[in-house]
Amino acid sequence: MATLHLQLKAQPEVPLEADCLSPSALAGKTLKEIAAQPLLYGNGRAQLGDFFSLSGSLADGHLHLEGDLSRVKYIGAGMEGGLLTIDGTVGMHLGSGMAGGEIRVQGQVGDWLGAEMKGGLIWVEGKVGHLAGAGYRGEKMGMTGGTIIIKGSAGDEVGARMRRGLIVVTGDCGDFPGVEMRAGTIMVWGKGAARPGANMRRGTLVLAHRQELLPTFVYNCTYRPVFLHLIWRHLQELGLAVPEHLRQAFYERYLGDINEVGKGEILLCQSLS
Amino acid sequence: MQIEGVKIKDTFAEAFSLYGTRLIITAINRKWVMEAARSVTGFATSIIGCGCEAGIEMELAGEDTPDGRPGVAVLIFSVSPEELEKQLVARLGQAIMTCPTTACYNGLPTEKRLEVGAKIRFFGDGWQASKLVGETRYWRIPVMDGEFVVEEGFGYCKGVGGGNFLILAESQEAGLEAATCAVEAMGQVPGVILPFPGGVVRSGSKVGSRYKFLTASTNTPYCPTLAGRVASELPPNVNCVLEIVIDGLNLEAVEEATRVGIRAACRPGVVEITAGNYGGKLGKYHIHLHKVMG
Repeated sequence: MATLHLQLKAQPEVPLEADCLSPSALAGKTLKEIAAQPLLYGNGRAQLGDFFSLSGSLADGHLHLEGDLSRVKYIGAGMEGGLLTIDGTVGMHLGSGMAGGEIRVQGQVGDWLGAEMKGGLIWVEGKVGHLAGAGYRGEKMGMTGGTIIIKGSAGDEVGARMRRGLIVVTGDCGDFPGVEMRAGTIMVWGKGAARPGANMRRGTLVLAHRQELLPTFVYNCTYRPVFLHLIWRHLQELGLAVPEHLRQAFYERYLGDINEVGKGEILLCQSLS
Repeated sequence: MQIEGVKIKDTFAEAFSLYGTRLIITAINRKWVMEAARSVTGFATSIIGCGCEAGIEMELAGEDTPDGRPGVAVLIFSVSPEELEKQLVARLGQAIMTCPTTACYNGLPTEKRLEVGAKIRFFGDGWQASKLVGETRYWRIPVMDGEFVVEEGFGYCKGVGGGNFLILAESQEAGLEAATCAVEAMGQVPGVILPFPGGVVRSGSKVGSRYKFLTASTNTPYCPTLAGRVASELPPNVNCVLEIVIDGLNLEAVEEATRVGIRAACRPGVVEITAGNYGGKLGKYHIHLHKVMG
């Protein structure tokens, strides 16, 4: 498979904004043109070739990045297709506004992963920062489509104001998961933190571990939701193994947040209570 | 042509275009999924009298269903997409949603869809919720045992209705035995259903009647009790005729079911296998028995 390899050769001293780093943004360009792609470097400008060594080809739509990219922001932002793989730590806003394709990361990712994402798949083998899948400050909606798989822990406000899509955190997550959620599904398989689903209107928050809920959530019943099996199957098709105890468990259903529309739900898995 | 001593008449079955869809019904166990499947396919033997023709296509193991529970594939046919949608909404709402633990999914991934879950959802009285999984939207409707999950849209295609063959037997016992064997064998063919009770029809019909208010009436040329009194199509030693009607998602499936069924029906006590047609003037599809069995 023809892959375009980009290796970070010089560590930026201040944040580097590189929204050109996606297969769809670089498609059809020569290596020379790719090296000349503009970047924002602090309050100045730079070119991609200033920081990355390039080799290979993007003929098959596969872009591979390597290095400590913790100061490189907006990688894969607005991506529309293709495959972006990354070995190493990645900075903020990875895949923000992404509409299609796949991003796969072996390493940690900063805040705002997949913020306002519209479609596609982001798969992170490592922990991520705050506000994964969230909406930017002042925006009404967070992610409106696509899937984010985090095989590790996540920070605060996962899926804040999320409107559609699926986020799975296999590890622990920080405070306020699903805050002001409009719709969609968030699953936290590790331990959760304070105030899940605060001010959520609709949508589903599946929590594998028992935790204290806000008093604005009302207990409904304990049952085995059939629709979860559709999601389990979808995840397995994506390549994520779903623990058997989650598949077989009964779930306590709480409806809320009654401060808002009150049609959101938190499903608490009973088996790990 | 003869198979196992049974004459295969050189004639053809005349079949028609219908619109068909496939439902995947699941439930907590086989008992309840079969209850739902039997209920939704009940009173659906003939489009003329029932509005649609329906039947169980096959049982499905958990690994072959969307939610991992035991399932059944059901095919339903009607004269137009509009009528098919009307039948689906009515039948899903009354026969599947009402049945404990069930869920219902689209089993035909075509581009055009009938709005089924999208209409049934209103039963939720504002508490229905949708869930988009991948590219597929499902509706969750609160019901008294939990939730009824139904897919928003169901695919459909142009299919074939009214494929058939008739088993002419020496006795009722021999005819029934042959028909039973044929139905069992045809049950292994995907993409087809046999909409009549147990897959078998005894009251085959002809077009028209002496009564103005009836559009069809008993198939007098094939009624043994009228042989000698009307223009009969029956050889002298035939005392029972049973018909098997076949609907399928495509002509190939109907032809395959015809072939498998006729072969299984060629048993001792069966005199002849023939087929029903209208002289080739009404139906789009002509399934020639000799060609199919050749």
